[in-house]
Amino acid sequence: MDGWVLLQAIVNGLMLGGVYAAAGVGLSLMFGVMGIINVAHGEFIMLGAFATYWLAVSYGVDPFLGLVVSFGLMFGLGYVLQRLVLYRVVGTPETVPLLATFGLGIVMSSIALRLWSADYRVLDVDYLLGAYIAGFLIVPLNRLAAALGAWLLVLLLYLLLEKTELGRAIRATAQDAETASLFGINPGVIYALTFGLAAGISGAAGSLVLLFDVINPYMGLLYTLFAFATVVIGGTGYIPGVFWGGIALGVVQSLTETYLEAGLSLFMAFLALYLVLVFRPAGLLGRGRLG
Amino acid sequence: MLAGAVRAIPLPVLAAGLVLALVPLWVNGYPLRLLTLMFQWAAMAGAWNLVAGYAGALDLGPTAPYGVGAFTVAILMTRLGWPFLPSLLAAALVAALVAYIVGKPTFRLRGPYFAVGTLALAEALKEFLLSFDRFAGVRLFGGSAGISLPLAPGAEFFYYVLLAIMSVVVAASYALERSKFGYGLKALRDSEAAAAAAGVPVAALKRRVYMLSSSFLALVGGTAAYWIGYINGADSLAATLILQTIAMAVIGGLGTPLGPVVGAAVLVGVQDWLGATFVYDYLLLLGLFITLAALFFPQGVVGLLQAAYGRVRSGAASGRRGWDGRGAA
Repeated sequence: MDGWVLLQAIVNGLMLGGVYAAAGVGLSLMFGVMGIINVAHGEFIMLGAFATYWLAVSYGVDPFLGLVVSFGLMFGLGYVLQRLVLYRVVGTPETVPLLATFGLGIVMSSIALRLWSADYRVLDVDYLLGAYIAGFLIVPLNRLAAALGAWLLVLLLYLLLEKTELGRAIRATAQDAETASLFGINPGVIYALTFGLAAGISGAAGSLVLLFDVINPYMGLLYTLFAFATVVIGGTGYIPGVFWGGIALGVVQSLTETYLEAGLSLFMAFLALYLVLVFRPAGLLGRGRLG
Repeated sequence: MLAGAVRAIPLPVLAAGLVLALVPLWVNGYPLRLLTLMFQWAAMAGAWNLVAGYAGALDLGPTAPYGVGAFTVAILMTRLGWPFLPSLLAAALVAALVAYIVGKPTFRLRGPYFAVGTLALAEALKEFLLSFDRFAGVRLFGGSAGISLPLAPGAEFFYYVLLAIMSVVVAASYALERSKFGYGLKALRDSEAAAAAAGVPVAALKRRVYMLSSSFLALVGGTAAYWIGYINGADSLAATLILQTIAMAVIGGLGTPLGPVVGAAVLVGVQDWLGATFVYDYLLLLGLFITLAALFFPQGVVGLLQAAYGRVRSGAASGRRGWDGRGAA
């Protein structure tokens, strides 16, 4: 029986970790390409979740179709924000992008609060209400679908970066924007596309959060921290690291909930983030940009 | 140090402080309360400014020492029956001790990592305070129900306490501008590598200013706790407190002694004007202000005024350098 409890905790953690990977990968991409930490990151997740929620509730749109729409909307928002506002912060001292995105995040969450109130909202997807049961192990379909969808998103982004012309241009700009521009790449456009991609993936991750958890306009800050923890634990700027970072974070939280106290799970998550930042800045795998 | 601090303060500022000390003779009721609130925020933003403005380290977790102060005061007063002022001093010491312990590993982080590390620290403390009692099966921090403090004296008492704390913070900022400690901080803010190469003890200075800032934040947190009369982990470490603190310092002018005071006066005024019915508009404005200030006038209101004054006086733009190293407008 004890073994089943442990197995259940680990499986729960793995599924949660999948969603964290999708929530964090955009942050990692932004940092890798522009060297910017986007403090408003979680707000894109929140807005993506709400877009999918309203499509489902008002027009009966399937949440997976809603996810595609959320991606598109957030991609557009990210692209426009980069072209209108954030292009100014590339290359400035690091306090400028931090404060600028910090302020943007407050604007986004207070607009959401204004529009949709502070209510918690849930979406029940009827075909995901069941669960796989094996022995004493229970795998709820909605959590499984969220985790698989999240890993698929991360994989698609990875393939885009590694296998396509656009990905090559993004990687070239990340390495050396000036040299890239000599080869006919417009760094301004690449930066905007990168922010668009990062925001879009985050919006889609929000749609996946909606499958199994409550959403509200305040969730952004929490997800910024989750995303940051995922990225730092996996290794900053090393995209595949989010897979492992997400799992580590998810399993730590799940084990805390099972064996210690549910209320301490956030405490352990933030403590883990702090400890890795301080003692293993290149991430658990040691593959991050900061060594 | 104290005499030096007083000497470093310009005369008009000293005079303004004395006038403020006399204000309760003529003013009471709501206006007095509003002024007290301004002092509270000015002290909080000013204490934050010591680390962010002078040492250039963007601390996103000022609620951590603020909360340590609030809970130390609450526990000492309700559990041990201590009077307020000794509890408050103890709170400042506890916060300085915590800052000493936490400061060394935290300041190994740079830039965005320091920012998010401090935010993680504050959020971790919040969750700890909220869930410790249930986890440990004791009654100490009160969980989400919180702690009620003994009945507080009238508004004038808090007016003077918070005026005193704000004055100490402003005096400390002026003293920093003129001291070796302050020059060291400015050097490491502009370039840490260059400062270290020039023999500035970078790590020690950062830790010391963090301790100073933390104990000031604890003074504010402890006083606010007694004034409000009730605290819990969620309120004392709420993200909105972090937002307001940062917004005030940035809008007023980072790295200037009076910037946080100006920022606090502006924002408390705006908040009062928008009123309780426009809470969301207020938050939205804060966010907009922070973004615009970061992008377009990183030297804040005080920086803009100084630049304008400098231009009038010398006939040329001789403004000081902004906190981000850019020249003034």
